[in-house]
Amino acid sequence: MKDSAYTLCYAAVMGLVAAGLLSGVGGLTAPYREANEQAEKVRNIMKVLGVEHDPGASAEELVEVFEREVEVVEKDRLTYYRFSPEDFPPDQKRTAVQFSGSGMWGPIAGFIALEPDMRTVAGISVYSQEETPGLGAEIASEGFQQQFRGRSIFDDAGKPGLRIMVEREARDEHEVDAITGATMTSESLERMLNETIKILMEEGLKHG
Amino acid sequence: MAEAQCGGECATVKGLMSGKGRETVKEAAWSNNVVAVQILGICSVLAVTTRASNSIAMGLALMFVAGGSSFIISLLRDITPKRIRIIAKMAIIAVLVIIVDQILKAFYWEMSLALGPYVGLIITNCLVLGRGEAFAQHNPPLLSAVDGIATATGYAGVLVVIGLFRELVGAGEILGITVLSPEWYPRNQFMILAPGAFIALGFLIALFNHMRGETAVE
Repeated sequence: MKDSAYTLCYAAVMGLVAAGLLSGVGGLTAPYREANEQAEKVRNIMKVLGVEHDPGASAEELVEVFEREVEVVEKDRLTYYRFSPEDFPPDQKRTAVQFSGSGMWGPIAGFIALEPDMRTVAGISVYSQEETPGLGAEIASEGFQQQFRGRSIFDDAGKPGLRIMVEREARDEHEVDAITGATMTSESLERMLNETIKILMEEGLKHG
Repeated sequence: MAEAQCGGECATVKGLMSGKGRETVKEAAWSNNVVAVQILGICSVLAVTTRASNSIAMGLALMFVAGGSSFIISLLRDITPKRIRIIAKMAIIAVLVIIVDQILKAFYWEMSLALGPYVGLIITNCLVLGRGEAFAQHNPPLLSAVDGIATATGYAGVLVVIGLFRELVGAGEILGITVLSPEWYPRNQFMILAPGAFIALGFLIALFNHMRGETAVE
């Protein structure tokens, strides 16, 4: 009995000390971590929109370039990031929105950018994911993401229809190849992209 | 994974029990190298050695965690109830690992991205709990810290050698500096992928055994 009481006390004290240490370190590093996460988000938005920036830039510099170059428009359900590349006429802008959803192991979030015609993909990026390294995590790789460039977000019937093809090779304008061995991740990504495209269409119609 | 073997194998390393100082270091880092001799912690070795810089960061993180946890475990060894000692050790290790992870995320963001989930997975790295059970449980704090750091140095050494090799063959670079010009050296992507890591590790173990004078295993 005495032994059990000692064991319980030991466990309780250990738990308290560990919790105290962790919240202390967590609190101290929070501002830096948040700044880095913000910069990472901004870096991804600028990447899909094609905003030129110094790859070695610090977090503050990135946010500064972002605020100067990118127009941010908030609508009901999505935030729109708009940017006009140098070789475009000034009134022609690419538009990026965030997509997110649950993958196989955890949340996935990223950005998809559309050309001014609002149907051709300018690029996508995944900035947060916890998929299987080497398989599902390949959605964060440049090689996978490059496939999306120039694809159409609509299928032949004009519905949101970006397809990540698991069963066969990509052929059509709105198809890209899935990652072998990562069917569930590919399907989740396809679903969240199309959900976002659907909201984009609805909001686009409503707000003109 | 490797930790399952730990209970039995790591605890039977008898040579370490009597070792002091220099002997401890030599045994822990070289003759009983966790990766090349005990073949433990392979998962992280394969995952983070695509570049030498990643290997160095991971090695340093492990040295901090193994040294720190061995020190604390040894300090508390007489007052920790035997029945909950494993979970108590896990808690100590987990706290140290989370501290490393938070510091990387706050001050070394790029490195934190490159290492991905493998920093958090140090908690499950066999060598840390293994040294806690086999050595820190029976030895004074400072010697335990030395043993933890030395064991992790052995691990880090293997990581850096494999990292240098894979980076050179796979990307033609050493620590990010191009040494093999892409004009005449085609990048061997195979070395960057996991099978390349297995092959590199195999060569390294063979070399290691040769240097230690090890011949056929019974």
